[in-house]
Amino acid sequence: MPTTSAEARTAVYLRKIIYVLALLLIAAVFITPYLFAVLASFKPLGEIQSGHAWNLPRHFTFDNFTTIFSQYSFGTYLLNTAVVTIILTIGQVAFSLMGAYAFARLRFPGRDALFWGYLAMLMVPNVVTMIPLYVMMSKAGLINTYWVMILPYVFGTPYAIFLMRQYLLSIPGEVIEAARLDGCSEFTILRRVIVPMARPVIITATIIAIIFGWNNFLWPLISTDSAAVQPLTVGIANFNSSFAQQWNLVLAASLVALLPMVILFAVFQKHIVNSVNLTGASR
Amino acid sequence: MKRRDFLKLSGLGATVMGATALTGCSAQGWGLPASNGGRAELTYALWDPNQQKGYQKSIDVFMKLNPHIRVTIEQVSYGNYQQKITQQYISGNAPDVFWVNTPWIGDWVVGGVMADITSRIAHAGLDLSIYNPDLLRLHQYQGKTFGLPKDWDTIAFFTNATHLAKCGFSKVPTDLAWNPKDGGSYLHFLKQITLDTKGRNALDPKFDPGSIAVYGTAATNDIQGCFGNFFAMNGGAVLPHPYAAESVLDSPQNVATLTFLTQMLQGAHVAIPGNQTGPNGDSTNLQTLFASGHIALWQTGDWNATGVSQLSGFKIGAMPLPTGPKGRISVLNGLCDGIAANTPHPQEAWKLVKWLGSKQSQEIMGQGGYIWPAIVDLDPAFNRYWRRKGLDMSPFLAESRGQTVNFPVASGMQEALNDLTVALGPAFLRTRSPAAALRAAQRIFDYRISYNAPKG
Repeated sequence: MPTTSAEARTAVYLRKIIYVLALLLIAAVFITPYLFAVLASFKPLGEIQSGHAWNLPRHFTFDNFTTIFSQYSFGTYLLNTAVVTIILTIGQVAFSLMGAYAFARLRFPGRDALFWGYLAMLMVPNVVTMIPLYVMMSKAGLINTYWVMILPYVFGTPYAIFLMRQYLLSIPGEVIEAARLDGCSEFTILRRVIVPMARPVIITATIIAIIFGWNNFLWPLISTDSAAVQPLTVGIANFNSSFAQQWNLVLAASLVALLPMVILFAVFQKHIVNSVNLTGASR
Repeated sequence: MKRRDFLKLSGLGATVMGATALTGCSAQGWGLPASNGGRAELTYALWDPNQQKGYQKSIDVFMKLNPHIRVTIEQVSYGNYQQKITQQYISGNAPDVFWVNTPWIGDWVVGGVMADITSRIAHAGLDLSIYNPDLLRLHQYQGKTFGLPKDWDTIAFFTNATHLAKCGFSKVPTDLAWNPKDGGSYLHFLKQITLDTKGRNALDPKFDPGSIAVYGTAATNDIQGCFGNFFAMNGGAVLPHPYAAESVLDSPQNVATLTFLTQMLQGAHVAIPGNQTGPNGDSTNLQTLFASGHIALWQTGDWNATGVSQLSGFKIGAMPLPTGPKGRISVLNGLCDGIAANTPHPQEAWKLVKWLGSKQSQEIMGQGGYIWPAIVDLDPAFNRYWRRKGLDMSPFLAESRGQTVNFPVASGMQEALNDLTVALGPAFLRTRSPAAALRAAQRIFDYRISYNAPKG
């Protein structure tokens, strides 16, 4: 019956077109603000304020970028963010993996109670612990140093440990038993057996840690004061003074902050999508 | 290159970058004592990234003259400034010297955050008569002085000179007058410069208020930029005196003024509707509206000179405020540098404050076009700078030399002002009568300034 199959094919096409249109619409909603920011960062201030956001730059200029690096200390902000993110990521992944391994594969009394107790910390919103944390750091004399941004996060997070533990539980116990029989120490098992097998979850945890470190704002805003240690996020916020806002510079700075994350996404696209699968949702 | 190789390479790249980053960081960042050769380390907090460039120049000279003091500038965003400085003070990490704006000075003076510098001024034998006396009063409380004036601002108009010329005003009128009864020559002028999309002005019987291309001005819910000036010009006020625990917002003069601004100007379609100027009819969007040619006059402070000078597309001028029933009166505000009462370096902090209030420092700031210096003799330098850039700032200067009214000072002022904007919002959006809005505003305003007000 040729007519019906043709009709069916038309229906399929139609449905596809509707899907694609819907997806394009959603994509447009998400991409538009970034597009406006990109366009604006190449415009002089006068043009941003007098023209429409979607207009292409009439006087294309790199001045905004040269200004933020030459006249304001954006190089330092960038460096600070990089330092904190790198240390925080390495520490968080390494320590979380150790914790996860212990919770998943080692036997010791009170293990599960400890695990669930630790996990319960996920339920406590960050802002609740912020003031006690500030007081602790202040008493330790660490306010306005790199330490204050690194220490609270570097020894692993409940989330990363939970994520890794669940993954490690799926690794067959026999593999670890075999390694033990061959005389491996726990640390060797972790290094030689677990790390290669848990690579997907390690990459996932790494990406989550990098994004967290790079975008962290509230805590550094509260705990740091000087441009010598402040990260990019706080630098941009400072820049956005409510008197005489210079949108050209703010948006150029935002683009600089955004770029490494876009590159990260482009390179690790597959793993990031995979991490959504692993975690059930992106955090 | 295979994907695996690429990943390895990028990992290597990240490590190298990290190592470079680590070596590039300062010892202080890691909390290690930096070798400072026994110098006192001061921090100086401010919020304006543009003025920061000027103050860095001034402080570089200061450090050359005082080799035993090192000053680092900390920039804090204006939106968080009051909270951040207060929080730092409480935890003992306050900057030694910090910018103070008038909405916060009441809380910081009454709360003991700022050090009293009266005896230091007397001891140093400083001549305070070089400063504008009104500015000095802004930073005084119960006969004590808490800061030396550093700069000032008044309110006038930036004009779209190209548009005004098109309307037949190649020179701006400087003798306009307003009154709450019929609007005066100011309203007439605004009608002449408000054009609909067919190019007819608001005096034309065929003028179409439904499609206006350029409004004359904006009358906004902004105490400093707009209504505070008009209140004073009609004999009204916000506070009866500094540190009052009760305002005088709900007065017949203020009701008449607010009616003029909201009902008469917006009603005649010469002021852009309040819902376009910002949340609660405040002045958030004015720079954009002015830059895009939607309003011919932008009533604002001189701190916007940097932004205005970067606009393109039309010529820009300046014009004084119109004269009201009690004269031409502008809101006057100015900043001072506060010394944290708990600074470990009170001597050095005072040295810095004294320097920032001095002729040498204010000359650097004025000549660079960053601020109007609080030292009266130095003001022309600021004007010269902007004239070279093609911007005439003399109306602002003329107003500072004429009648002014100080920005209101009381404890709890920032919160009071936030609530005032919310309470007056409906009047500027024309959904509530000015009388009712002012009544509501006075209630919440008085609550805010009274709960922490000094007794007696």
